[in-house]
Amino acid sequence: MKKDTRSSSYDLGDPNERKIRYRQASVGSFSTISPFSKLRPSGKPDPLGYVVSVPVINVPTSEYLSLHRKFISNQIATVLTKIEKMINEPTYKIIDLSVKISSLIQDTSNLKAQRLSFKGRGLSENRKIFFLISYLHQQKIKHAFLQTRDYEVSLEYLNAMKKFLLDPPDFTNFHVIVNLKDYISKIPSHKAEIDKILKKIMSLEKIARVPKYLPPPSSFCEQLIYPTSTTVSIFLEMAKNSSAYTIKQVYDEFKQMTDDESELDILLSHAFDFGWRVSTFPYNNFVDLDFPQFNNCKLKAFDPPYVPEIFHSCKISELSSSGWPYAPVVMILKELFFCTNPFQGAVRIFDAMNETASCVVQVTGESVDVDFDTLFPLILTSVLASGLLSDPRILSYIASISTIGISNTYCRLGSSYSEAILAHLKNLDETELENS
Amino acid sequence: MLEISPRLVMIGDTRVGKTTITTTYKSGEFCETNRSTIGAVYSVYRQTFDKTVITLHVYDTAGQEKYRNLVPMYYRGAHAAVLVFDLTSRDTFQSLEFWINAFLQIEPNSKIIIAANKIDLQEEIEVSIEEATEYSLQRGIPLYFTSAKTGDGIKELFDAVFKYFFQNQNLRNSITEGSQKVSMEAAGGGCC
Repeated sequence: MKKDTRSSSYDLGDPNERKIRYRQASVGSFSTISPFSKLRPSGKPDPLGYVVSVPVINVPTSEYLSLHRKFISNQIATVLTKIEKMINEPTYKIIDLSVKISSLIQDTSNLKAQRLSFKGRGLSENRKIFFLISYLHQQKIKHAFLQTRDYEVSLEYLNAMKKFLLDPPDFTNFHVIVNLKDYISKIPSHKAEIDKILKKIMSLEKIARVPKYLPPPSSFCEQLIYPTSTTVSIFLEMAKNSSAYTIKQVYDEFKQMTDDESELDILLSHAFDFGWRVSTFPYNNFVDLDFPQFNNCKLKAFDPPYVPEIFHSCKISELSSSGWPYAPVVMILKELFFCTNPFQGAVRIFDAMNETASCVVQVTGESVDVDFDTLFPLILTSVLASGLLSDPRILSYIASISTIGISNTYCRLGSSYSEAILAHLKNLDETELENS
Repeated sequence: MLEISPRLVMIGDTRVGKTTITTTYKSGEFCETNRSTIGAVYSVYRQTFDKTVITLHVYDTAGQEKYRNLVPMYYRGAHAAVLVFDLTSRDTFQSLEFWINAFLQIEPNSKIIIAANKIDLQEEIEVSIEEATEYSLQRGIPLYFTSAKTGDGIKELFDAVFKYFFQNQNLRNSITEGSQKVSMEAAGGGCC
C-alpha cells in the first residue's frame, strides 16, 4: 500500500510550515530527486521511508532558503527531542525486564529444588502439584523475554531514526516531513503472541499456587490409598487381575493383614473401589442368573404375614406406589443398586431386616417376635417390590460372600438371607404364582 | 481374658417353639447384648466362665415346610444346634432324625442338643419322657425338657450350651475371638 505521507505527516502546527506548503501547492512542483528518497533494504529500520521531502519552490530566493533551512532544522530538532524521550522508556523497561527474567529463572530453579524436597508428598503427587506452577513460570519468562525483545527492536528503530536525523542530507531545496507516528507503528513486534501468553498467565494464576505443606494423611483409611503407600499397589494389582481373584481370596488376604474388623472393612472397601474402576462386580464370576421378576404376581401368592388385606391383591409391580407399610424396607433395599461393596450390601440387607421388624410393629401396633417364618416372606416381597431382580447380579454378589466365613455377624446374616432369597425364588414358578 | 464367639442355630419343625425358647431366654436376665429388632431371628448372649467370655450368636431358622430347603444355608459355620421338638406332637419327635442328619451333613463336627419343649402341657403329651430320654441316650445327644411358656428348663438348656463351649478345648481353639470381638463392638451394645 502506498503511504500517504502528506496526510500523516509530522505537523508542528507552525504557520510558516503551512505557508510553505500552500505555496508549494500553488506554484506546482518540478520533478527532482529527493535526497531522502534512496531505497533501503527491507526488514531493517528504514527511517528514510518515513521522511519525505518535496521540492519547495522552483526558483528559491536566498532569503527564502535561509528561512526554510531554519524552519526544517527546527522541525527536525523537535522530532529528535521527541525521539530522545521515547528512547528512555524502552531503555528502562529493558532493564526492569532483565531483572524480572533473572528473578523468574531463580524462582523456577527454587521451585525445582522445592519439588524434590517437599515433605509429606509422594514423588508422583509432587509432579502433579508442581507442574502447573512450573508451567506458569515458563510462560512468565517467555512473556518477559518477548517484551524485552520488542523493546530492543523499538530502541533499535528509534536510534536509527535519531542517527539519521542528526546527520540529514542537504534539504535546502526540499520541504521535510517526518512521519514518526507511522514509523513507530511499523516497528515489528510480538504483540499478538504476548497477548496470548498474557491470557494464559492470567488463567494459570487463578489455579496454580505453590502448595502449602500438607502432612501425610493421619487416618488409616486415607493412608492406605496414599500414592506412596505399599497397600495402594495391592489394590491396583487386585483390580488389574480382578477376573482372576475371588472375593474369598481378597477377603482372606486382608484378613491375614489385620484382625481389626473396622480396618478389614476399610481394606475391603478400597479393594472394591479399585476393582469397580476396572470392571463391574469385580472378583466374581456369575453363572446362571436368569431370574423371573414376578412383577405380575399378586402379593398374596407369597403369603406374607402382617400385611393389611387391602394390599393382598396388589401386583408386585404396584406395591411401591400403593403406600404399603413396608415401603421403608424397599427404600433401604433400593440402595443396593448403588452399592459396590458386597460386604456393605450384606449389612444393608441386615438393616432392611431390622426395618421389616419395625414395620411389623407399626402394622400390628404391638411388640411382635419376628421369627424366620415371619421375616423371610416379608423381606422376600420387599426385594421383589424393590426391583432388585432386574439385575440379579446385585443379590448374587452379596450372596456370594455367605460361604467365605465372614467374621462380622450382621454381614454374614445379610448375605445368608440374600442367598436364601435367591435360592427360594429359583424354586418358584412365576406362571403358577400369577394364576394363584 | 479369652473371648470366644460360637454360633448356635435353632432347628426343628414348625410350631415346636424354637422362637419362643429364644425369646423366653432373651426376656429373662440372660441376654447381655443385642442391637437388632429381629431378636427372634438373631440374638446375642454373653456369659463369663473363669476368665473366658463366651459370646453366643443364636440364629432362628425356618420352621415352615416351604422354607425347609433354605435351612441348610444357616447350618454353615454353626458350632452347635439346639434341636427342638414338641412333646405334644409325635410327628415333630419323628422328624428328629431328619434334622440331625441334615445338620450333621453340613457340620459333622458340631454339637447337637435336643430340647423337648412344651413340658408344661402334661395332659397333651404324645411323647413320653422315658421315650425321649431313651432316644437321647441311644443317639448320645443331650436332652433338656423345657417349657417356653413357663420358662422351665430354658436357663438350664442355655447353660448347657455355654458349658459345652467352655469345656470344649478344641472348639475354643478353633474359634478366633479377635474378629468377633470387633464385630460385637461395632454392633454397639445396649441390652435387650
